[in-house]
Amino acid sequence: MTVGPLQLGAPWALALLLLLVPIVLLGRRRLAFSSAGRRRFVLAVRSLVVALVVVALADPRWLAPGREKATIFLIDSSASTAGFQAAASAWVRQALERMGPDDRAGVVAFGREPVVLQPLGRTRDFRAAALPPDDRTDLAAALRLGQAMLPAGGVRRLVVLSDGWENLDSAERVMDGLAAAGIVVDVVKPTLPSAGLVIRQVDAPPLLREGDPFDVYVQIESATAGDGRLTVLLDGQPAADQAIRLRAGATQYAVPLIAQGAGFRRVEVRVAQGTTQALAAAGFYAVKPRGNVLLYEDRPGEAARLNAMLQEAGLRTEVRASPTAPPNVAPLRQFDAIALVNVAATSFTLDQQRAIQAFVRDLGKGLVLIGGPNSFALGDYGSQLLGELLPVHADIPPKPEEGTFGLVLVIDKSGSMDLRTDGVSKMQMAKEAAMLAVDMLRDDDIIAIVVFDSNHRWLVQPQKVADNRGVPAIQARITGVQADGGTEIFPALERGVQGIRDTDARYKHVLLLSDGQSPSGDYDRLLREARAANITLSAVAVGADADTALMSRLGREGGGRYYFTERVRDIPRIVAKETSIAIGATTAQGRIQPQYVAPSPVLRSFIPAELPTLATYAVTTPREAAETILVSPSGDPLLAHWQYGNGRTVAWTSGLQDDWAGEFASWSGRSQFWGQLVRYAMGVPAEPGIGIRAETQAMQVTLTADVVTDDGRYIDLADAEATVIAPSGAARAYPLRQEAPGRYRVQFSAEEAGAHEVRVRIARAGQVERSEIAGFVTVADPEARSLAPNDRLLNRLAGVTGGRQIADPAAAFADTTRPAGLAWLPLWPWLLGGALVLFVLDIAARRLRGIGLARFRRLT
Amino acid sequence: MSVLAPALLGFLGLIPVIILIYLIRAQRRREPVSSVLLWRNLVQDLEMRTRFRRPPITLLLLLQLLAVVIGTLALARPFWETTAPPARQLVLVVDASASMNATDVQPNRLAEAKARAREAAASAGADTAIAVVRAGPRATLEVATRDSGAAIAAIDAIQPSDGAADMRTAWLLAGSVAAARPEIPATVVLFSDGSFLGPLPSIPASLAIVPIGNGSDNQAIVQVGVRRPPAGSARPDAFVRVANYASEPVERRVRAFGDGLSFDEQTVRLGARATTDLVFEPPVGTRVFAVQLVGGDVLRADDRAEAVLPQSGEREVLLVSTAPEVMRRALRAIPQLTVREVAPDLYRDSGSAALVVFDGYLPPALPPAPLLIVNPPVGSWIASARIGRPGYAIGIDPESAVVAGVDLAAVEFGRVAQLVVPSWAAPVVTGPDGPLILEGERDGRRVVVLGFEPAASNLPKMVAFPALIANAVDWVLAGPDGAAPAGTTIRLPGGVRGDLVGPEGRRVESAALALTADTDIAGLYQLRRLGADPLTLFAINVADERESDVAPRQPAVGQPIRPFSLPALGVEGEPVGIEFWPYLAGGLLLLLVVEWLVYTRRGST
Repeated sequence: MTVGPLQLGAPWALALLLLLVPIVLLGRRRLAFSSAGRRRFVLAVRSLVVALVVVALADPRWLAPGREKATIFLIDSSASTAGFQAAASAWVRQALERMGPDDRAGVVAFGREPVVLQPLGRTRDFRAAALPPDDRTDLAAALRLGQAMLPAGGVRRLVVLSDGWENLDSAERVMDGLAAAGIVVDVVKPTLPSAGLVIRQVDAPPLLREGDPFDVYVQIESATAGDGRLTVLLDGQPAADQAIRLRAGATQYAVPLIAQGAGFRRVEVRVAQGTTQALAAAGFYAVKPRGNVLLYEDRPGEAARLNAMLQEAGLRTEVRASPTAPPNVAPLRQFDAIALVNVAATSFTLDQQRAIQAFVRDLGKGLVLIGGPNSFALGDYGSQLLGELLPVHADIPPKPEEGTFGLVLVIDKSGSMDLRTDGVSKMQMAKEAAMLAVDMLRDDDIIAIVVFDSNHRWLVQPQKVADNRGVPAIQARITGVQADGGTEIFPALERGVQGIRDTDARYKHVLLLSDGQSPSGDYDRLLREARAANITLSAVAVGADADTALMSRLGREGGGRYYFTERVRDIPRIVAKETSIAIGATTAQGRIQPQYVAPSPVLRSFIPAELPTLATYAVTTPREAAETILVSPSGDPLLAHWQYGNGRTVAWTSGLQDDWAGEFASWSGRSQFWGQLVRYAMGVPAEPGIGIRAETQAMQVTLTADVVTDDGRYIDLADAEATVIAPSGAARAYPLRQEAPGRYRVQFSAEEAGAHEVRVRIARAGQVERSEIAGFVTVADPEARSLAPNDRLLNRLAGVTGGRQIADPAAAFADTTRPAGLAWLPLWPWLLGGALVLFVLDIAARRLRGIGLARFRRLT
Repeated sequence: MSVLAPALLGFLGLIPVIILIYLIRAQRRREPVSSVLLWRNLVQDLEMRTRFRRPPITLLLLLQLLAVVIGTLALARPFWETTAPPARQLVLVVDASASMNATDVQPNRLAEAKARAREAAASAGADTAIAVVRAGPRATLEVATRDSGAAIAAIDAIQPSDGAADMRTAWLLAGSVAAARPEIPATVVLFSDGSFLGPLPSIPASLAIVPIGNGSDNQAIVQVGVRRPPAGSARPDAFVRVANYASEPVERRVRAFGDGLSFDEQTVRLGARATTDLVFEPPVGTRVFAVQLVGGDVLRADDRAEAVLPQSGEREVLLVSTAPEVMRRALRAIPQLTVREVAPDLYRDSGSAALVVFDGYLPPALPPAPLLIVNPPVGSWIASARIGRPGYAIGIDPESAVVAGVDLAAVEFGRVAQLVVPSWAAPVVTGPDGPLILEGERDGRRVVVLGFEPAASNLPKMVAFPALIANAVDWVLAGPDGAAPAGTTIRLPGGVRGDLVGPEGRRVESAALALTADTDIAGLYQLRRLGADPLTLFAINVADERESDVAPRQPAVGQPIRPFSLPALGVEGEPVGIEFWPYLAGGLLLLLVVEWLVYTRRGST
């Protein structure tokens, strides 16, 4: 019977307490003539004596920390510790010789199975049985057996003599149970060997595209430093062979390769140091078809250079005009990246921008934005959705610029501009916009205003802002404009272009504002003249009746921007913004040497200091969360990238034209550079919506697939299958069973060692919803993992359980403060001993009548 | 005969004390009188009065001395030992796995197995050493004795479990018991329905198997999983697998519960020895999902399964930093965390935080919660100096969960510290100048150390950073999954304090430091804290197809098996090797009673 920490082995004995009744009754009669105090005392003592004996008979036990000490030594007898076993046995023998009188100990050897060499006892003379080295290590089984051999209470301990490298089960699963049971684990680690060479790991990116450059990482452990040779074979064919310098301990080497030929590739690595050959270790990677890049351009031919360079770099490309971008993401799935070559954000509708956003964020694809006269701030990315995707801020930077700015406002004052909408007329808003634009100019800047209807005239002839009584005078003239008449755009525009052309402003810009139609005029010639004079032209179309086609063309071909609005009240804002863009420091020019800031795979194999100079770049500001890789001498980003949702975006703020690219345009490494840049943007060619994990332990393999739909819901109740292709080419299909929402798993034993290809297919109702290629490696000799012990596991095993690392056998049984397991401690000896002592007191109380205690002391 | 505690024979020293008491003459009261003329006959007595007298040899004295002798002998723990060792060994292995709770045998298989084992123990003779091994989720040696009564008591005390038996360890344990006396032939008898995973290794003993159970009509919930979709929907998804192990098709109703309220029910028709997969959509905010097979079968424990889905922001992280921006961003990206920030000069203790992140700061005393130490200050116990150049990873432990799936190839680690690796930790990422990232565990708390300043590295701008922080948090917190099979040792969430209570209100003992708990019984496990509502932490289910398939099987053993049958293996004889202090204590009690009777009847002193 157990009540909390008290247990009674024979609770029936408590019935004997009934004897107290006749004892008390008889005693009262016998002591009737004694004093009441003496009577009570005698009866109490006698009752207590009897009660103690009765309770002792009930065999009470108390749950308390035990005092006994028990230790089980676990000796690793696997192949990886072959050189350590004799030393471990000797260590245990020396430790047992120091066992104390309260200690008990046992010895277990373990490899694939634990074997009891000596059961728990007090034997000090340990004779180790010679066990052949086992080809597997199951440390967990040894820990479980050790725990089972230990008694329930007292100080309990396991001493593990092992290198900690296991390949069956996992000691992690047992660790917490040992700690919960209060069992302490001490570890004894083997000393490092004086010779040996092990390939610890071969690592390659699991998924690549054809033509991708990549590195195979090889981690090698060597007992001694020296020269060696590293050989890499791909599918049995030599791919790299290089001399290496090995150092004592672990060293990692990167072998650069190019992914060639779609399919699964097996990597074999061999290392030799002098006459020592390291075991060949395997790796793998899967190559998917060449990356497919969609190039958008605003003007035909702008993407031609990039197209050629990317094809030279081994990528597939397709060039399209930006207005043809689809309004949804589905048609874009076939591509791995989109490159916007000097494309204005305003070239895309909002739906088109959303599709591009989903392309990057949701599908995990790449976006590359390349600079030019219509890009970044000049392309109005700062206020468009696409600007959110960029790794730089494309807002107009508030920087002073050298040289004057000349602005011509060509404003429609036809009768239709007097139409009132929302309480105001277009003419009112246009005048307000003009005044705002004038306010934004500096005194030295040049302003001119042409107003037109069927005719045109200078409202303000080209002049410095400060001249002729300055801004107030100009604004007064603007205020006096009245809407009236028809619409003839061309003559007014031509007047404006010619007027600003003849000024000495460094930067010349014409802004047209109209709500009408006026197709007649030689706009081609006018645009040519403007371009020749470095005059940029922007257009603002107001209202549904505006000639949007013409205005759009003017803005696009004029090197400026095009705006359309039906909201009259937007006119001032648009004009103000357009003016700020035009006068802002949106570009920087000169002989610009890129400065290296941070490493990036884009610059793989390039020496940053040897990059060619650039001529022009779009001025942007770094985005804090993005990686800025190259900057201009003044600190403006030239190359930046970041993760956006599931995908990546890369910004190159310079352009491809000669007046932007400078020496970059003729640089011999340009194709490689652009190939690496776009490949980086593409990211890993993983199929969206499926993730595969392969875990191996010796030849045991666990494959797990997690699958979700395009909108992020789990794919359940699907048929999941994995086809595993062994190194020999033998293929076998394994069905995966679902075990959680969207999760499917299978466990099996591989039959061959080496790199295995896995093709996972998830289907519902016969329709394949997800598929992916993966791989895993099984090891022929799982014992040859490392020369050094597995510190991570052994240190944690000791740390979790409150144990120690010990090296000296004398310390094995050294008394330390250790937790003791709880055991049932018998209480009957205490009760019986107390009863005997009280019995003597009982006798004395009955016999020594009339004697007080003090006198009793004197007498005795 | 021998004694186990000879030192306690010192209680015989009470005998002279009793004799001394008898020697002492009680001093008479002095009364002045006028004359002693009439008492002349007594003068000689008066004149010859002495303090001590020869003790009267009375029955009372003899009884009292005998009582002391008997009591002292009992204290010394005498035991009768035969000079002959046992002639044989009998190791009884009782399967206490989940399938042994099946009721195809009344009252259940485990009771039947215990009854058969009890018979075997009772029939073993005095020359047989008996050991009893319980094969539950953990194998335990219940008793090793020459006393069949003790063996029977140990068999009676075997408790059931809802988990799979670690039969391999139990088997090896039985073998080790047999191997302890290799010169004595041993028989290992297994009482089981064969539901364990074999084959079992060979052991140095004869084997016998007593098959238990005869039915197979069982249906079970063999798999349950609950997850929130990654799309951010608040409504979780639940997956359930139902299995029918009977040889006939069967129709059962499956009822689903969210936080105790039924929200769905499906009727499934299961083919013979077939499974069916179901999906459910628990209501938004569900924390505990449960699914139940309506009706009954021979094994009830696997008719219900539960899973706990932790809620967002449920765990508090205390971030102690002077510049918390970088770590704040990474921690807030982990859905189950609520981040509380405090400046180092205001830090006092971890409070109720499940995890503490020290960024650029270390207090004099570490709190008991799991820790993430970032950029430890130079001069602290973990960082001895600052390395003057950036670091990069040249060695990454491929088996560390902290760096699993994290691509550190292009990372440049800035302001790297020279880490001092404690004995309980080990590097998982190593740079050219030493370790960069450590992981370890001490005093029941897990610790990860990032020996560099993230803000001075390019790591925060890479997708590797949130992945690394999420891995590190996941590893140090190491709380239980929503559901686990019975028999799993559960590591409780870090920083948790309170009483862990299992099904039916049973308090679960857990080691104070490690905060781990053994979970043999299926059901919900709750944390009960003072002044707070109980928090359901995790669910334990049978969740083992092998255990739910209750059809008895012939276990695979790598050596011959013979049927086991009574009569006794040994010969009758006197009990040997047992203590007989209870008999002596009983004799003492009898003597006390007799002595009292003599005292009260005679009226003598």
